[in-house]
Amino acid sequence: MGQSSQEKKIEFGQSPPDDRANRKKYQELLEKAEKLFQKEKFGSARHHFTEAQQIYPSEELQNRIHACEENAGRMALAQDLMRQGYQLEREKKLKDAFKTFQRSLEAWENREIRILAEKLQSKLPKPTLDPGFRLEAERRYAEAIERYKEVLEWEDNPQAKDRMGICLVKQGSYTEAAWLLEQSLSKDPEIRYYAGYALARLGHYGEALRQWEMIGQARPELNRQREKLLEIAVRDLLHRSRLEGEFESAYQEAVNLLSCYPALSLVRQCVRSMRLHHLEELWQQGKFEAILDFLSVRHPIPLQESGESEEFLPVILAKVYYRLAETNAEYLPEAITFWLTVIHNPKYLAPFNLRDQKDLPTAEGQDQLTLNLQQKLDQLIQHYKTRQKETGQKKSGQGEISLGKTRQGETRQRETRQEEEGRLKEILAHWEIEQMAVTFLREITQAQDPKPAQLRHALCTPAFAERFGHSSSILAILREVRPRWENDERFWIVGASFSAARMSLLLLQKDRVEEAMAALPAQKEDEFVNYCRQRIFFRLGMERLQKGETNLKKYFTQAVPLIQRFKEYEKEIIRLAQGIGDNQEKLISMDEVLQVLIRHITSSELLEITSYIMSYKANVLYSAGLIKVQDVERILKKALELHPGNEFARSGLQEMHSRQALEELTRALDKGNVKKAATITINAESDEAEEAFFDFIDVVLEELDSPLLDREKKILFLRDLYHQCERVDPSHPVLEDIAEELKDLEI
Amino acid sequence: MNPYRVLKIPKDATRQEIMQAVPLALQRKEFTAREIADAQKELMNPCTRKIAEFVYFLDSQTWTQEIQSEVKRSQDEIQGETSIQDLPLLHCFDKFQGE
Repeated sequence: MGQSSQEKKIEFGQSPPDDRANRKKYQELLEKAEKLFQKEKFGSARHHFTEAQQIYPSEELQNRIHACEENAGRMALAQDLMRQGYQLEREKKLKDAFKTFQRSLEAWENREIRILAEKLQSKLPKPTLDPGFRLEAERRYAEAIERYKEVLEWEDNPQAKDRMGICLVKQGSYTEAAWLLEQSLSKDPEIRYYAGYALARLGHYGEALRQWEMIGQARPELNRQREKLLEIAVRDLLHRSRLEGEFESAYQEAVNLLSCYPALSLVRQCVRSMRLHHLEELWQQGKFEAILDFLSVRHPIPLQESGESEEFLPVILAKVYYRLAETNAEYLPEAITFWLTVIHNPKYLAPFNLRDQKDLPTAEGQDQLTLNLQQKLDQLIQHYKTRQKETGQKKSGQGEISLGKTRQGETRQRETRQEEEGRLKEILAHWEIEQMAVTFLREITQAQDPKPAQLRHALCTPAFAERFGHSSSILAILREVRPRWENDERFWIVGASFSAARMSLLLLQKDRVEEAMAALPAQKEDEFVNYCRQRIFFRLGMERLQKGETNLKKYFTQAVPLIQRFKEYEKEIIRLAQGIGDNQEKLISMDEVLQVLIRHITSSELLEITSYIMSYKANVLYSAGLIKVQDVERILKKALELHPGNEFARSGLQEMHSRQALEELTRALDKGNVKKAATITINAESDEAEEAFFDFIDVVLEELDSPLLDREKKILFLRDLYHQCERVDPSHPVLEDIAEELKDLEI
Repeated sequence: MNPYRVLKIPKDATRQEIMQAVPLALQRKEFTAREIADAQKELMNPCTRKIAEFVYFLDSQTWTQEIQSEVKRSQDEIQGETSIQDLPLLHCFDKFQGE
């Protein structure tokens, strides 16, 4: 049956009219129209669809009405041709009748006519290719085409198609010829040549040359024509690309051509020239984002494939990103990366310095230009810093005024501000690393003797190197110059920024230490990754140290090489230790860390602070009753060993001794052992002990007044007491009191 | 701000042209007197002008000169102004060679 049954039906009930009566009528009309459509009664179907359309107009119904009209038209044509076919058959013009039936079938499929056409075909002689061949040899191409068409009407014949295509080329009908010959599967050089020629005449140079490539290089005349075509193509494409609205197709054609001949300089230059011209146009129109889309930098593609050259891509990107970043901070990171690379790398900047100057650029001139362009970027970054500061102030001011606003709104505002601040902080961290890296590399190229020429041309920022695959070569150069620069920490930071630890380093710069740790690559042999690891461990350790956390040995053990190499880290620990106060936990963890460090680092500054921290810790712990006098004494002695000038430890140790003596004295006196008490007092050499001893003697003398005590015993006791007191201090006034007491008793 | 846009002058404008552009820019009142003065100052100083050139012009001719000379050199090698219409059909592959 006809094609109508394959067309999509309208689904009933789609947005029906609101009125119930109308809705019913609408649905009845649709059902009837669909049934008529299926029965190929397109006139009636159209009538019903139109009525339904008047009740509730819709695009679907309109399409259905169009389908009815189109099918009715084709059907009418097919019926007309069918009638003509019958007439021709009656007139015994069987060949014409067959052709007419074929055309009718093309307009509308009809089983009856198909059977009839097949029947007629069986009665007709089968057309052959020979008449076409003969006509073609006589250059009667139009007639030859007719003969080939006859064959094709009879059956699908690839050879007839090929010959017809060739004749069409010779006639100048390139579109039809190209369509036919491109489909041909034959590898016959004649067919491939004519297919290529037709395509070339249509301006599809890439496809044309592909067709000719299949023939091979054996034919010198074709090789010459191939070269000529290439040159014509380049000129034509360059011309077309400058015509309004023609760029896109011409450029695609040029890229297509380049994919056929990637090594051919002429084609490469043609593509580059077209690209640059287009980029210049976009630039002049201020369509900077369109430039990025055109260069597809958002979805990086290999440079070689695109026919791009490195020299101008970074410069264009630097300029484009800079202009975009002037109004949108989103582009600032890329602007920084490309701008810094371009202004520091002579390969990119020299052409600009050379231009408009008759003489060659001097090194000073180059440096001045770089410096000025660097300032331009600094100004842009400063602009964002100031703007954020102002926005922050304005927003906080607004907050004060609009007290009536909901808390939710204020929270949102605050969150947005924090997000913006965070984003700018990230950009600034990126800027610092990029700037440090490229300026340090430049310093190396200027100072190194002999100058590392490769580095001079590879001068770029880490993000740039990562993007264009230069990181490993820069790392190799850095490793070569290590002996000279390894004591400059920038060498390690820059090395890490070009290494696999780049992301980790960036996070570390943004103070996102935990994330930096998580992002750290596993390579243990890479010295730059190790440097980054040491910095992360140091920073983690310091953060935890400030919080007074314990068990920090592992962090500082890892960071030892870093602290050994760069004094600043040691100083940072010392500064933290100096300001640690008397917080018990912090003192304990600080002491723990310092004990680890002094095993490896024996600088006098570190030993001194360790000595003091040990003394403070011992003092605090003793005061809290957490350690005994003996422990304190041991710690203070050790502290003094580390730093003999530690007066705090020295006086503390003396104080401990006297306290210890007092404790022993108290115990001896409590037991009434005056002799032992006197000995302790003498050994203690402390006023406090002596005072305590004689206070005790005063009390004893008062108690001796008691009449209950035996006189003889009193005398004996007082004589002993006198002797012990004399041992402690022969000039003490209590001796006179005892002597007087004895005198009274002896009388 | 693009000083060339402020003063509406081409990249290769002379000092005299810059001076002449200032009163015209003031008349147009598209930019403030301060902005116009800044633009003039920027372009009168060779050093800052160089920076402005770098920032506000793509300068694709920096690279196209070289490219175009290569393309032209190659084009010059083609004898005459051959176009695709002049590309002859080769008959060396023809099976049916006509008379």
